[in-house]
Amino acid sequence: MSKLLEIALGIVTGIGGFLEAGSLATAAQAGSEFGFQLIWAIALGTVCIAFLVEMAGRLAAVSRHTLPDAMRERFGIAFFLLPLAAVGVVSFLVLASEIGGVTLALEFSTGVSHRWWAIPSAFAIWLLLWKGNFGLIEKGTSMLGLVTLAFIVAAFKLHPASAEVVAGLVPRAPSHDPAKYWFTAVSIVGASVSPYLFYFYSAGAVEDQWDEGYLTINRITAGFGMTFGGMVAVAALICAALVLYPGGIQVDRYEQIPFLLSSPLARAGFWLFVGALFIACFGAALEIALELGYLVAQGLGWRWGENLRPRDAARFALVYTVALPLAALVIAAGIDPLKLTIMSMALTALSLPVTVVPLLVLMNDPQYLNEHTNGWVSNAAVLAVSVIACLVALVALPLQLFGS
Amino acid sequence: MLRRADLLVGLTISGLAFVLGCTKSPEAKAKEAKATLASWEATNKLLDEQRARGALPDQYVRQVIRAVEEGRAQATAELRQASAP
Repeated sequence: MSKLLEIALGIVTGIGGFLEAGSLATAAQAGSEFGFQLIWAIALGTVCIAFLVEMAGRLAAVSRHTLPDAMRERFGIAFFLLPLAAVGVVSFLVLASEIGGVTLALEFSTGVSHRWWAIPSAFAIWLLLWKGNFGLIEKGTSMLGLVTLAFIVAAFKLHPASAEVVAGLVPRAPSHDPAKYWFTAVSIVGASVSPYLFYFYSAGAVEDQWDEGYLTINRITAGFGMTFGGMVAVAALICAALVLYPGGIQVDRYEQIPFLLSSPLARAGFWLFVGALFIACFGAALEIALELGYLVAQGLGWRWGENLRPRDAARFALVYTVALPLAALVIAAGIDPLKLTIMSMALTALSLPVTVVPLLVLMNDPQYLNEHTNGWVSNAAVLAVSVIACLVALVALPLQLFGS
Repeated sequence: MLRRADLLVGLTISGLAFVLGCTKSPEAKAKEAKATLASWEATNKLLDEQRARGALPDQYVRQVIRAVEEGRAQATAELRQASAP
Protein backbone atom coordinates (compact mmCIF):
# COMPACT_ATOMS: atom_id res chain seq x y z
CA MET A 1 0.00 0.00 0.00
CA SER A 2 2.78 2.41 0.91
CA LYS A 3 4.51 1.62 -2.43
CA LEU A 4 1.30 2.44 -4.30
CA LEU A 5 1.09 5.70 -2.38
CA GLU A 6 4.71 6.50 -3.27
CA ILE A 7 4.04 5.81 -6.94
CA ALA A 8 0.93 8.01 -6.88
CA LEU A 9 2.84 10.78 -5.10
CA GLY A 10 5.71 10.46 -7.55
CA ILE A 11 3.39 10.74 -10.55
CA VAL A 12 1.59 13.72 -9.01
CA THR A 13 4.99 15.33 -8.38
CA GLY A 14 5.90 14.79 -12.03
CA ILE A 15 2.64 16.30 -13.30
CA GLY A 16 2.54 19.22 -10.88
CA GLY A 17 6.22 20.01 -11.30
CA PHE A 18 6.50 19.76 -15.08
CA LEU A 19 5.05 23.07 -16.22
CA GLU A 20 7.17 26.12 -15.41
CA ALA A 21 8.10 29.42 -17.06
CA GLY A 22 10.14 27.77 -19.82
CA SER A 23 7.68 25.07 -20.88
CA LEU A 24 4.74 27.49 -20.68
CA ALA A 25 6.41 30.31 -22.64
CA THR A 26 7.83 28.03 -25.34
CA ALA A 27 4.51 26.16 -25.74
CA ALA A 28 2.63 29.47 -26.02
CA GLN A 29 5.08 30.82 -28.61
CA ALA A 30 5.03 27.59 -30.60
CA GLY A 31 1.22 27.35 -30.68
CA SER A 32 0.73 31.03 -31.50
CA GLU A 33 3.14 31.02 -34.45
CA PHE A 34 2.99 27.50 -35.83
CA GLY A 35 -0.36 26.06 -34.68
CA PHE A 36 -0.03 22.36 -33.86
CA GLN A 37 3.15 21.91 -35.93
CA LEU A 38 5.56 21.75 -32.97
CA ILE A 39 3.76 19.25 -30.72
CA TRP A 40 6.44 16.73 -31.75
CA ALA A 41 9.13 18.86 -30.03
CA ILE A 42 7.31 18.60 -26.68
CA ALA A 43 6.85 14.85 -27.20
CA LEU A 44 10.55 14.42 -28.03
CA GLY A 45 11.68 16.47 -25.02
CA THR A 46 9.29 14.59 -22.74
CA VAL A 47 10.59 11.17 -23.82
CA CYS A 48 14.16 12.37 -23.33
CA ILE A 49 13.55 13.83 -19.85
CA ALA A 50 11.66 10.68 -18.79
CA PHE A 51 14.76 8.61 -19.70
CA LEU A 52 17.11 11.06 -17.94
CA VAL A 53 15.05 11.28 -14.76
CA GLU A 54 14.79 7.49 -14.61
CA MET A 55 18.59 7.22 -15.05
CA ALA A 56 19.28 9.80 -12.33
CA GLY A 57 16.97 7.93 -9.94
CA ARG A 58 18.52 4.57 -10.82
CA LEU A 59 22.04 5.89 -10.29
CA ALA A 60 21.05 7.22 -6.86
CA ALA A 61 19.18 4.05 -5.84
CA VAL A 62 21.91 1.61 -6.88
CA SER A 63 25.12 3.53 -6.17
CA ARG A 64 23.82 5.93 -3.44
CA HIS A 65 25.63 8.65 -5.36
CA THR A 66 24.10 11.87 -6.58
CA LEU A 67 25.00 12.94 -10.09
CA PRO A 68 27.59 15.64 -9.29
CA ASP A 69 29.16 13.47 -6.63
CA ALA A 70 29.51 10.51 -9.04
CA MET A 71 30.79 12.74 -11.87
CA ARG A 72 33.53 14.24 -9.72
CA GLU A 73 34.55 10.82 -8.42
CA ARG A 74 34.52 9.17 -11.87
CA PHE A 75 36.06 11.95 -14.02
CA GLY A 76 38.05 14.02 -11.52
CA ILE A 77 37.57 17.59 -10.40
CA ALA A 78 39.23 19.15 -13.49
CA PHE A 79 36.67 17.59 -15.83
CA PHE A 80 33.78 18.11 -13.42
CA LEU A 81 34.30 21.89 -13.58
CA LEU A 82 32.93 21.85 -17.17
CA PRO A 83 29.44 20.41 -16.40
CA LEU A 84 29.50 22.40 -13.14
CA ALA A 85 29.94 25.64 -15.09
CA ALA A 86 27.45 24.69 -17.84
CA VAL A 87 24.70 23.52 -15.48
CA GLY A 88 25.46 26.37 -13.07
CA VAL A 89 25.12 29.12 -15.69
CA VAL A 90 22.04 27.61 -17.35
CA SER A 91 20.35 26.94 -14.00
CA PHE A 92 21.04 30.49 -12.85
CA LEU A 93 19.40 31.91 -16.00
CA VAL A 94 16.43 29.57 -15.61
CA LEU A 95 16.16 30.59 -11.95
CA ALA A 96 15.94 34.25 -13.02
CA SER A 97 13.28 33.27 -15.59
CA GLU A 98 11.21 31.50 -12.93
CA ILE A 99 11.45 34.47 -10.60
CA GLY A 100 10.29 36.54 -13.59
CA GLY A 101 7.25 34.25 -13.92
CA VAL A 102 6.41 34.63 -10.21
CA THR A 103 6.68 38.42 -10.40
CA LEU A 104 4.51 38.60 -13.54
CA ALA A 105 1.78 36.55 -11.84
CA LEU A 106 1.90 39.09 -9.01
CA GLU A 107 1.77 41.98 -11.49
CA PHE A 108 -1.25 40.47 -13.27
CA SER A 109 -3.13 40.14 -9.99
CA THR A 110 -2.16 43.46 -8.35
CA GLY A 111 -1.27 45.85 -11.18
CA VAL A 112 2.07 46.66 -9.45
CA SER A 113 5.04 46.39 -11.86
CA HIS A 114 6.72 42.98 -11.78
CA ARG A 115 10.13 44.59 -11.19
CA TRP A 116 9.04 45.62 -7.67
CA TRP A 117 8.14 42.03 -6.83
CA ALA A 118 11.55 40.51 -7.73
CA ILE A 119 13.32 40.97 -4.38
CA PRO A 120 10.27 40.12 -2.17
CA SER A 121 9.65 36.98 -4.27
CA ALA A 122 13.29 35.88 -3.96
CA PHE A 123 13.12 36.50 -0.21
CA ALA A 124 9.96 34.36 0.11
CA ILE A 125 11.65 31.53 -1.85
CA TRP A 126 14.79 31.81 0.30
CA LEU A 127 12.74 31.79 3.53
CA LEU A 128 10.95 28.61 2.51
CA LEU A 129 14.28 26.94 1.67
CA TRP A 130 15.82 28.13 4.95
CA LYS A 131 12.92 27.03 7.16
CA GLY A 132 11.41 24.15 5.17
CA ASN A 133 12.46 20.59 4.55
CA PHE A 134 12.81 18.52 1.38
CA GLY A 135 9.38 16.84 1.60
CA LEU A 136 7.58 20.16 1.97
CA ILE A 137 9.36 21.67 -1.01
CA GLU A 138 9.10 18.66 -3.31
CA LYS A 139 5.60 17.44 -2.54
CA GLY A 140 3.96 20.68 -1.38
CA THR A 141 4.66 22.74 -4.48
CA SER A 142 3.93 19.82 -6.81
CA MET A 143 0.53 19.21 -5.20
CA LEU A 144 -0.33 22.88 -5.60
CA GLY A 145 1.09 22.67 -9.13
CA LEU A 146 -1.86 20.47 -10.09
CA VAL A 147 -3.64 23.77 -10.79
CA THR A 148 -1.78 23.63 -14.13
CA LEU A 149 -4.25 20.89 -15.12
CA ALA A 150 -6.52 23.84 -15.97
CA PHE A 151 -4.70 23.90 -19.33
CA ILE A 152 -5.98 20.39 -20.09
CA VAL A 153 -9.55 21.42 -19.19
CA ALA A 154 -9.22 24.53 -21.36
CA ALA A 155 -7.79 22.53 -24.29
CA PHE A 156 -10.78 20.16 -24.17
CA LYS A 157 -13.20 23.10 -23.98
CA LEU A 158 -11.67 24.54 -27.14
CA HIS A 159 -12.48 21.31 -29.06
CA PRO A 160 -9.27 20.83 -31.04
CA ALA A 161 -9.46 18.66 -34.17
CA SER A 162 -7.88 15.43 -32.94
CA ALA A 163 -6.50 14.54 -36.40
CA GLU A 164 -4.57 17.85 -36.50
CA VAL A 165 -3.22 17.32 -32.98
CA VAL A 166 -2.01 13.81 -33.87
CA ALA A 167 -0.48 15.15 -37.10
CA GLY A 168 1.52 17.61 -34.95
CA LEU A 169 3.33 14.64 -33.39
CA VAL A 170 5.11 14.04 -36.70
CA PRO A 171 8.04 16.40 -37.41
CA ARG A 172 7.69 18.21 -40.75
CA ALA A 173 9.07 21.21 -42.59
CA PRO A 174 7.76 24.55 -41.28
CA SER A 175 5.00 26.38 -43.14
CA HIS A 176 6.95 29.67 -42.78
CA ASP A 177 9.95 31.28 -41.03
CA PRO A 178 12.24 28.19 -40.72
CA ALA A 179 14.76 30.00 -38.46
CA LYS A 180 12.05 30.83 -35.91
CA TYR A 181 10.58 27.32 -36.25
CA TRP A 182 13.83 25.54 -35.42
CA PHE A 183 14.75 28.05 -32.72
CA THR A 184 11.34 27.47 -31.08
CA ALA A 185 11.78 23.69 -31.45
CA VAL A 186 15.14 23.69 -29.64
CA SER A 187 13.78 26.06 -26.99
CA ILE A 188 10.97 23.57 -26.34
CA VAL A 189 13.46 20.69 -26.05
CA GLY A 190 15.62 22.85 -23.75
CA ALA A 191 12.59 23.65 -21.58
CA SER A 192 11.61 19.98 -21.34
CA VAL A 193 15.13 18.62 -20.77
CA SER A 194 16.24 21.17 -18.17
CA PRO A 195 19.22 19.67 -16.31
CA TYR A 196 17.85 20.96 -13.00
CA LEU A 197 15.06 18.37 -13.27
CA PHE A 198 17.32 15.31 -13.23
CA TYR A 199 19.97 16.81 -10.92
CA PHE A 200 17.23 17.70 -8.44
CA TYR A 201 15.66 14.24 -8.82
CA SER A 202 18.95 12.43 -8.10
CA ALA A 203 19.56 14.56 -5.00
CA GLY A 204 15.98 13.93 -3.90
CA ALA A 205 16.42 10.17 -4.26
CA VAL A 206 19.47 10.30 -1.98
CA GLU A 207 17.68 12.64 0.48
CA ASP A 208 14.82 10.11 0.58
CA GLN A 209 17.36 7.26 1.07
CA TRP A 210 16.35 5.21 -1.96
CA ASP A 211 17.84 1.74 -2.45
CA GLU A 212 17.46 -0.93 -5.14
CA GLY A 213 13.95 -1.69 -3.87
CA TYR A 214 12.90 1.64 -5.38
CA LEU A 215 13.89 0.82 -8.97
CA THR A 216 10.34 -0.11 -10.05
CA ILE A 217 8.84 2.92 -8.34
CA ASN A 218 11.50 5.06 -10.01
CA ARG A 219 10.71 3.67 -13.46
CA ILE A 220 6.96 4.10 -13.08
CA THR A 221 7.07 7.60 -11.59
CA ALA A 222 9.63 8.86 -14.11
CA GLY A 223 7.71 7.40 -17.06
CA PHE A 224 4.17 8.32 -16.10
CA GLY A 225 4.95 11.53 -14.19
CA MET A 226 6.91 13.06 -17.07
CA THR A 227 4.47 11.81 -19.73
CA PHE A 228 1.45 13.30 -17.97
CA GLY A 229 3.47 16.46 -17.26
CA GLY A 230 4.32 16.70 -20.96
CA MET A 231 0.59 16.48 -21.71
CA VAL A 232 0.03 19.68 -19.72
CA ALA A 233 2.60 21.44 -21.91
CA VAL A 234 0.91 20.03 -25.04
CA ALA A 235 -2.44 21.34 -23.70
CA ALA A 236 -0.89 24.83 -23.32
CA LEU A 237 0.33 24.64 -26.93
CA ILE A 238 -3.14 23.55 -28.10
CA CYS A 239 -4.73 26.51 -26.27
CA ALA A 240 -2.28 28.90 -27.96
CA ALA A 241 -2.90 27.29 -31.35
CA LEU A 242 -6.67 27.73 -31.00
CA VAL A 243 -6.82 31.11 -29.21
CA LEU A 244 -3.88 33.10 -30.66
CA TYR A 245 -2.83 31.47 -33.95
CA PRO A 246 -6.09 32.04 -35.90
CA GLY A 247 -5.94 35.80 -35.20
CA GLY A 248 -2.24 36.06 -36.08
CA ILE A 249 -1.21 36.93 -32.51
CA GLN A 250 2.45 36.05 -31.91
CA VAL A 251 3.55 35.94 -28.28
CA ASP A 252 6.01 38.81 -27.84
CA ARG A 253 5.23 39.53 -24.20
CA TYR A 254 3.91 37.63 -21.20
CA GLU A 255 0.84 39.92 -21.11
CA GLN A 256 -0.55 37.98 -24.11
CA ILE A 257 -0.38 34.53 -22.48
CA PRO A 258 -3.30 34.74 -19.95
CA PHE A 259 -5.67 34.78 -22.96
CA LEU A 260 -4.96 31.05 -23.29
CA LEU A 261 -7.20 30.36 -20.30
CA SER A 262 -9.40 33.47 -20.19
CA SER A 263 -10.74 32.72 -23.70
CA PRO A 264 -12.17 29.28 -22.94
CA LEU A 265 -12.80 29.69 -19.18
CA ALA A 266 -13.62 33.42 -18.88
CA ARG A 267 -12.70 35.25 -15.66
CA ALA A 268 -12.13 32.00 -13.72
CA GLY A 269 -9.66 31.09 -16.45
CA PHE A 270 -7.75 34.33 -15.95
CA TRP A 271 -7.34 33.64 -12.22
CA LEU A 272 -6.48 29.99 -12.86
CA PHE A 273 -3.74 31.21 -15.21
CA VAL A 274 -2.37 33.61 -12.60
CA GLY A 275 -2.46 30.85 -9.95
CA ALA A 276 -0.83 28.33 -12.30
CA LEU A 277 1.91 30.75 -13.34
CA PHE A 278 2.64 31.74 -9.74
CA ILE A 279 2.70 28.22 -8.29
CA ALA A 280 4.51 26.59 -11.23
CA CYS A 281 7.26 29.24 -11.29
CA PHE A 282 7.52 29.49 -7.50
CA GLY A 283 7.88 25.70 -7.24
CA ALA A 284 10.45 25.60 -10.04
CA ALA A 285 12.42 28.48 -8.48
CA LEU A 286 12.54 26.58 -5.17
CA GLU A 287 13.80 23.45 -6.90
CA ILE A 288 16.39 25.27 -9.04
CA ALA A 289 17.79 27.28 -6.12
CA LEU A 290 18.08 24.05 -4.17
CA GLU A 291 19.61 22.28 -7.17
CA LEU A 292 22.30 24.97 -7.42
CA GLY A 293 23.14 24.28 -3.78
CA TYR A 294 23.19 20.53 -4.42
CA LEU A 295 25.31 20.89 -7.57
CA VAL A 296 28.06 22.94 -5.94
CA ALA A 297 28.03 21.21 -2.55
CA GLN A 298 27.90 17.66 -3.90
CA GLY A 299 30.43 18.42 -6.62
CA LEU A 300 32.92 19.97 -4.22
CA GLY A 301 32.34 17.42 -1.47
CA TRP A 302 30.71 19.77 1.05
CA ARG A 303 28.08 18.72 3.57
CA TRP A 304 24.64 19.10 2.03
CA GLY A 305 20.96 18.33 2.64
CA GLU A 306 17.70 20.27 2.74
CA ASN A 307 16.69 18.19 5.75
CA LEU A 308 19.72 19.51 7.67
CA ARG A 309 19.61 22.81 9.55
CA PRO A 310 21.33 25.57 7.53
CA ARG A 311 24.06 25.91 10.17
CA ASP A 312 24.86 22.20 9.77
CA ALA A 313 25.33 22.57 5.99
CA ALA A 314 26.39 26.20 5.89
CA ARG A 315 28.18 26.27 2.51
CA PHE A 316 25.28 24.43 0.84
CA ALA A 317 22.83 27.02 2.23
CA LEU A 318 25.20 29.82 1.24
CA VAL A 319 24.96 28.85 -2.46
CA TYR A 320 21.17 29.38 -2.70
CA THR A 321 21.40 32.37 -0.37
CA VAL A 322 23.72 34.07 -2.88
CA ALA A 323 22.05 32.79 -6.08
CA LEU A 324 18.52 33.96 -5.24
CA PRO A 325 19.14 37.70 -4.79
CA LEU A 326 21.46 37.76 -7.82
CA ALA A 327 18.77 36.12 -9.99
CA ALA A 328 16.18 38.54 -8.60
CA LEU A 329 18.41 41.47 -9.57
CA VAL A 330 18.31 40.33 -13.22
CA ILE A 331 14.51 40.78 -13.19
CA ALA A 332 14.57 43.94 -11.05
CA ALA A 333 17.03 45.47 -13.55
CA GLY A 334 14.32 45.31 -16.22
CA ILE A 335 15.43 42.40 -18.43
CA ASP A 336 12.35 41.19 -20.37
CA PRO A 337 11.30 37.94 -18.60
CA LEU A 338 9.92 36.35 -21.79
CA LYS A 339 13.07 36.99 -23.85
CA LEU A 340 15.21 35.80 -20.93
CA THR A 341 13.12 32.63 -20.62
CA ILE A 342 13.24 31.74 -24.32
CA MET A 343 16.99 32.46 -24.56
CA SER A 344 17.70 30.41 -21.40
CA MET A 345 15.84 27.45 -22.89
CA ALA A 346 17.81 27.63 -26.15
CA LEU A 347 21.08 27.82 -24.18
CA THR A 348 19.93 24.81 -22.16
CA ALA A 349 19.56 22.86 -25.40
CA LEU A 350 23.01 24.04 -26.49
CA SER A 351 24.58 22.77 -23.26
CA LEU A 352 22.88 19.36 -23.32
CA PRO A 353 25.85 17.23 -24.48
CA VAL A 354 28.01 18.63 -21.65
CA THR A 355 25.41 17.64 -19.06
CA VAL A 356 24.12 14.45 -20.61
CA VAL A 357 27.18 12.64 -22.01
CA PRO A 358 28.96 12.28 -18.61
CA LEU A 359 25.69 10.91 -17.19
CA LEU A 360 25.52 8.34 -19.99
CA VAL A 361 29.12 7.26 -19.30
CA LEU A 362 28.23 6.78 -15.63
CA MET A 363 25.04 4.90 -16.51
CA ASN A 364 27.08 2.37 -18.50
CA ASP A 365 29.67 1.80 -15.78
CA PRO A 366 29.04 -1.45 -13.84
CA GLN A 367 31.15 -0.09 -10.97
CA TYR A 368 28.27 2.28 -10.21
CA LEU A 369 25.25 0.44 -11.59
CA ASN A 370 26.19 -3.26 -11.12
CA GLU A 371 23.78 -5.19 -13.36
CA HIS A 372 21.49 -2.16 -13.77
CA THR A 373 23.47 -0.39 -16.50
CA ASN A 374 21.66 1.26 -19.43
CA GLY A 375 20.23 -0.63 -22.37
CA TRP A 376 20.98 0.53 -25.91
CA VAL A 377 17.53 2.10 -26.41
CA SER A 378 17.89 4.63 -23.60
CA ASN A 379 21.53 5.35 -24.56
CA ALA A 380 20.64 5.94 -28.21
CA ALA A 381 17.49 7.98 -27.53
CA VAL A 382 19.09 10.36 -25.03
CA LEU A 383 22.33 10.77 -26.98
CA ALA A 384 20.51 11.42 -30.27
CA VAL A 385 18.13 14.02 -28.80
CA SER A 386 20.93 15.83 -26.92
CA VAL A 387 23.34 16.00 -29.87
CA ILE A 388 20.66 16.95 -32.43
CA ALA A 389 19.20 19.63 -30.10
CA CYS A 390 22.69 21.04 -29.53
CA LEU A 391 23.51 21.14 -33.26
CA VAL A 392 20.17 22.73 -34.18
CA ALA A 393 20.64 25.28 -31.36
CA LEU A 394 24.12 26.06 -32.66
CA VAL A 395 22.66 27.02 -36.05
CA ALA A 396 19.27 28.42 -34.98
CA LEU A 397 20.54 30.67 -32.16
CA PRO A 398 22.63 33.06 -34.31
CA LEU A 399 20.04 32.92 -37.12
CA GLN A 400 17.32 33.93 -34.69
CA LEU A 401 19.43 36.62 -33.06
CA PHE A 402 21.02 38.18 -36.14
CA GLY A 403 19.52 36.83 -39.30
CA SER A 404 16.54 35.48 -41.16
CA MET B 1 50.04 19.86 -36.39
CA LEU B 2 47.38 22.45 -35.66
CA ARG B 3 48.04 24.32 -32.45
CA ARG B 4 45.19 24.97 -30.02
CA ALA B 5 45.56 28.75 -30.46
CA ASP B 6 45.21 28.43 -34.26
CA LEU B 7 42.13 26.31 -33.83
CA LEU B 8 40.57 28.90 -31.50
CA VAL B 9 41.31 31.75 -33.93
CA GLY B 10 39.86 29.73 -36.81
CA LEU B 11 36.70 28.91 -34.88
CA THR B 12 36.24 32.53 -33.80
CA ILE B 13 36.62 33.83 -37.38
CA SER B 14 34.20 31.16 -38.69
CA GLY B 15 31.68 32.04 -35.99
CA LEU B 16 31.90 35.77 -36.73
CA ALA B 17 31.60 35.15 -40.47
CA PHE B 18 28.51 33.00 -39.86
CA VAL B 19 26.90 35.62 -37.65
CA LEU B 20 27.75 38.57 -39.94
CA GLY B 21 26.82 36.61 -43.04
CA CYS B 22 23.26 36.12 -41.86
CA THR B 23 22.41 39.69 -40.87
CA LYS B 24 18.79 40.53 -41.66
CA SER B 25 18.04 42.39 -44.89
CA PRO B 26 15.90 45.60 -44.68
CA GLU B 27 13.07 43.74 -46.48
CA ALA B 28 13.12 40.96 -43.89
CA LYS B 29 13.16 43.52 -41.08
CA ALA B 30 10.21 45.38 -42.60
CA LYS B 31 8.24 42.14 -43.08
CA GLU B 32 8.89 41.16 -39.46
CA ALA B 33 7.85 44.60 -38.18
CA LYS B 34 4.60 44.47 -40.19
CA ALA B 35 3.78 41.02 -38.75
CA THR B 36 4.47 42.31 -35.23
CA LEU B 37 2.26 45.35 -35.82
CA ALA B 38 -0.57 43.12 -37.09
CA SER B 39 -0.09 40.85 -34.06
CA TRP B 40 -0.54 43.79 -31.65
CA GLU B 41 -3.67 44.94 -33.55
CA ALA B 42 -5.09 41.41 -33.18
CA THR B 43 -4.15 41.40 -29.47
CA ASN B 44 -6.07 44.65 -29.03
CA LYS B 45 -9.11 43.15 -30.78
CA LEU B 46 -9.03 40.03 -28.58
CA LEU B 47 -8.70 42.22 -25.50
CA ASP B 48 -11.80 44.22 -26.52
CA GLU B 49 -13.79 41.03 -27.07
CA GLN B 50 -12.83 39.54 -23.73
CA ARG B 51 -13.31 42.82 -21.88
CA ALA B 52 -16.85 43.01 -23.30
CA ARG B 53 -17.52 39.49 -21.95
CA GLY B 54 -16.27 40.55 -18.50
CA ALA B 55 -13.56 37.89 -18.65
CA LEU B 56 -10.71 40.12 -17.50
CA PRO B 57 -10.09 42.22 -14.38
CA ASP B 58 -9.45 45.97 -14.85
CA GLN B 59 -5.82 46.00 -13.69
CA TYR B 60 -4.90 43.34 -16.27
CA VAL B 61 -6.78 45.20 -19.03
CA ARG B 62 -4.67 48.29 -18.27
CA GLN B 63 -1.46 46.22 -18.47
CA VAL B 64 -2.39 44.78 -21.85
CA ILE B 65 -3.35 48.22 -23.20
CA ARG B 66 0.09 49.48 -22.12
CA ALA B 67 1.80 46.45 -23.70
CA VAL B 68 -0.14 47.01 -26.96
CA GLU B 69 0.87 50.69 -27.06
CA GLU B 70 4.54 49.89 -26.40
CA GLY B 71 4.52 47.02 -28.89
CA ARG B 72 2.92 49.13 -31.61
CA ALA B 73 5.35 52.00 -31.04
CA GLN B 74 8.35 49.69 -31.20
CA ALA B 75 7.13 47.89 -34.35
CA THR B 76 6.31 51.22 -36.04
CA ALA B 77 9.80 52.53 -35.26
CA GLU B 78 11.37 49.33 -36.62
CA LEU B 79 9.24 49.56 -39.78
CA ARG B 80 10.27 53.18 -40.30
CA GLN B 81 13.93 52.30 -39.79
CA ALA B 82 13.73 49.37 -42.21
CA SER B 83 12.00 51.49 -44.88
CA ALA B 84 14.46 54.40 -44.57
CA PRO B 85 16.74 54.80 -47.62
